[in-house]
Amino acid sequence: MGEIFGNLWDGAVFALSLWNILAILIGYAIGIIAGAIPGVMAVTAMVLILPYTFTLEPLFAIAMLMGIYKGGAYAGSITATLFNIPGTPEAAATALDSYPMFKQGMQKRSLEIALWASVFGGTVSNFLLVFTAPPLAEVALRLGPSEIAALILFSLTAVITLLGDSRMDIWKGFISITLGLMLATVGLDNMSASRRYVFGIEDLDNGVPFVLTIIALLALSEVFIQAEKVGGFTLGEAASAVSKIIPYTWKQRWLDLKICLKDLIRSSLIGSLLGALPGIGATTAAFVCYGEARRSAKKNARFGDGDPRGIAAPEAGNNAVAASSLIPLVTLGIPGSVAAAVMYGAFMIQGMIPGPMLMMEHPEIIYGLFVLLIVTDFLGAFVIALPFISVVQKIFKNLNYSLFFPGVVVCCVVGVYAEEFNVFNLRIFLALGFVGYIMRKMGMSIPPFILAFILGPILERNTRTALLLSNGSPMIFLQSPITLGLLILAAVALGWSLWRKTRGGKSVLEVPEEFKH
Amino acid sequence: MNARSELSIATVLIGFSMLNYFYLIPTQVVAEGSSPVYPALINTMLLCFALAYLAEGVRCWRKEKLAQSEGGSCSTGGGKLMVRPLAMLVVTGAWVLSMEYLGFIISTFVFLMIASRIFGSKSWSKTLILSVAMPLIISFVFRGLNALLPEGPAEELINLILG
Amino acid sequence: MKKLMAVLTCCLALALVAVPALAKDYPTKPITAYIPLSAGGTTDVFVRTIAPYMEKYLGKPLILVNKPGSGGAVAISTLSKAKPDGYTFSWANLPTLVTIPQMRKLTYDPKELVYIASPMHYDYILYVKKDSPYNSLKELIDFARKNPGAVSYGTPGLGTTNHLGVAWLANHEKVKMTPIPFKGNPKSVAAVLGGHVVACNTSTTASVSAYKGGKLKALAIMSATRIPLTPDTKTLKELGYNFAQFSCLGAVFPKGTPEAMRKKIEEAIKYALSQPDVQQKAKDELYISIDFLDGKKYRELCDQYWGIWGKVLKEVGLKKF
Repeated sequence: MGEIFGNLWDGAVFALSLWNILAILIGYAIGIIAGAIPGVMAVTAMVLILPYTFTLEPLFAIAMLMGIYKGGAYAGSITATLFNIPGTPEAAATALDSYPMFKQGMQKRSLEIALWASVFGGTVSNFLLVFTAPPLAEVALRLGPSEIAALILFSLTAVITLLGDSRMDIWKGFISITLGLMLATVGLDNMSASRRYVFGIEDLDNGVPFVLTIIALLALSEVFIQAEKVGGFTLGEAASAVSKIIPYTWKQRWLDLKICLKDLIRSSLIGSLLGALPGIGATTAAFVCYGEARRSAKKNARFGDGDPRGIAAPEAGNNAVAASSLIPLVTLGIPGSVAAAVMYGAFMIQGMIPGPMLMMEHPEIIYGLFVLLIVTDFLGAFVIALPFISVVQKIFKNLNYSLFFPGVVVCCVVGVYAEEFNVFNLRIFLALGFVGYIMRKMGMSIPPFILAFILGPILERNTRTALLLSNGSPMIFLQSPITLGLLILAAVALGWSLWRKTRGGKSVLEVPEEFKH
Repeated sequence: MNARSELSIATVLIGFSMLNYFYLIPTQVVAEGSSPVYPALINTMLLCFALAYLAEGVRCWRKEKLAQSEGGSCSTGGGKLMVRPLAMLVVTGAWVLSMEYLGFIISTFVFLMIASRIFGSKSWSKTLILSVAMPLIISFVFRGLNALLPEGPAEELINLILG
Repeated sequence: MKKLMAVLTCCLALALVAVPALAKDYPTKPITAYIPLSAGGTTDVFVRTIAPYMEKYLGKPLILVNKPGSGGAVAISTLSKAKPDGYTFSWANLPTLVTIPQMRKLTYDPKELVYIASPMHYDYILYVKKDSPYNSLKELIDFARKNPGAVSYGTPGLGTTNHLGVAWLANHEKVKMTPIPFKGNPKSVAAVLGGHVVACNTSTTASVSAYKGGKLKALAIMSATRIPLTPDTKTLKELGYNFAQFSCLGAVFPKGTPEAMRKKIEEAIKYALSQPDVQQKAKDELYISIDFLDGKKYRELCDQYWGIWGKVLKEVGLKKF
């Protein structure tokens, strides 16, 4: 432990120069702008900027990319709050509560809760990265295909809390889940290298890209929904709410912290654990955290109607993923997420290969990076994010909605295009946007669809890999105590949630129709 | 949404799962050499849920018939499809399809001009400013990042000017 | 009308004059190059490392566009629809041109493309975990012979050369080993480290860190030559097999691109590779082997491996075309 502090000190001496701090701030600003523009991902910004890091100082380049990553992880919640249009997939869960809260005139409150929860989650996972990276990486490695499959199944049960309360809603929710699983089967089946539902189109071989799907279902469909409202005075709906902004007092802040603290801690830990596992990602973590917060709350909670915990939990969770997804990278040299893969590239461009060797040969670089990471959350939040929020709020007051929504469509399309530079993707994007609109009209909620769409393929792949390893014997799921435990947990969670939904009667608060996704 | 439309959606879903069983899975999964187990499993789930949904819809429909008053509905979701979202869909589709041929700048300009009308923009001048500025700014950002947007006449003109 | 005709004639005449001039002065505008992988991988970094030198040689910028998907097929299929005017080419890994067309129906015919050159080949290593009981390839194979199916190996996907290389070996030795497809090399390495599979066949970069950190044991080099990362590990050829796993990165033009333009890009690649900077970075930082093949040799090797990989694909039941 003492050694770590020594290393941290060396890293701080090595890394904390004015230049590197500037790099963080520039990066954070780029990240926050990219993240706040619907459809443009922080990762896309990282990828586009990556080639330019060839000519930069190593730590400057990496600090900047780190800043983009962190800024983007928070910024998606801004548009999610103000327009119900998540700027990034990670913020999809946040919108469930932050938009309703905003509509009650508490925009400052919901934006700030999201920000502070992000800082909290980010910081917890930064420290976990610094102090527990090697053991956590070891745990992540030990989880084999069968354990991961069980873990995903358990995570998937968080979906149940996202469903409505009437029987009709529950059936629709299950249909939504199955449709999500179905869409995810499109593409090459990796376990047999053959096609499923591809219709001979090569562009579909890699499946429907997930960022595109989420932006289409949530952002584009919202634009269609808003298009309906043109003519009435409710365009942008929230415009009326601006007149009665409720100030966010220090007392209220203190109260919110007290309410949310438990969820903040739990979400930060869940987010860090899920982040350390390759391929699960921030969007899932956010939904799982949201689901867990909801599951553990009392029956009278105002989830779906602007509960502060409904904002804090997913935001802390998705930001916790940011740092912990670097754990496999620095300890094993294995990038666990798209963003980590870009960081890997950035290291390689600078002539370093991240992993245990780099940790041994150049601890000052790795620990320097850690110090910068810890600094990023605070500096970014105070120097960039807070001013940015107030600017956004000012712009928001005189927003011309009839120009804003077409602009959103353009941003989404450009963002989707910039991911793979494939025009074909735009067609899928548009089609899915309309599907999302129709689903919302039919009262089918979108979040279960998304969660199933992300987790379905991981579940299928790991289940089949496990069966391949056991020569087809399903006993592999019962032999490992972890797998068995998780499976039992999943079954219990599923049963309990369903029982609570059907037996517990309706929740105290009726959730108004338009707050549902 | 009334019980009748719930029923028709449930029917469509059941129809889709039949189509999937008898046409899509044999031609697009099995014929390509993939295992049909997982797709068929999901499809069966869909069928079960859609049937449950249908049953619930029928229950609703009966209830609605009993109590013709407004309180009798137990279906969720609502509203008909409207003209403007459909118009948006058509315009966005035309934009996306024409982008490859017209280039990003021109197609986006046209799209923004029309889409903002759909959204009820009243000020021509503001619409024009946005429709010109936005595609130009985006295309210059992309140019600065050395990334490509679909090119057309306007881009070629800019290339010519910039050399 | 007459005026219009006159203008048109003038344009046509100009165009006719302009075309030969274009070929001679090529390139006169930026050239677009597709990278068939997502940003940040070894190949991507390598391409971006040589790009500035190619630009220097050509005198015009290269616009590198990452177009991942379908094992590179998306990039090549887009390329095959592009104008063969020399201003669009694509980087391609060997499987995109050789194995994938034999595995699934594609919208392009790789044999019609214009092969520019290949700047590098990939190296492959068969690893087991450091504390595993097998110290040589022979021990692993002997174990597999006694316990059919007990040896599982990680690959970055079915039908990849990593899979086919070991499949060839298993077939040759008549033992049963189970290929486990993962999503990319890093995850297959992780599965070995976690003890979920026995071995993995991976490209160099994905394993450098774990190998140098002392967590892996190299059993054999699957590709043709020894590599600096594991200088004492023997190649398959040295172990007595007449086989080497081969895959390389190359560049291709769409069908019908003039030879002069192909030559120019080939020279640009050659020029970039001759830079000491590039060589040093490739060797010490990226752990890849620079190995220039001109267009003709590149094409020959692709044709040769069409047959070799095709045969293995047939044996594992993946050959469909």
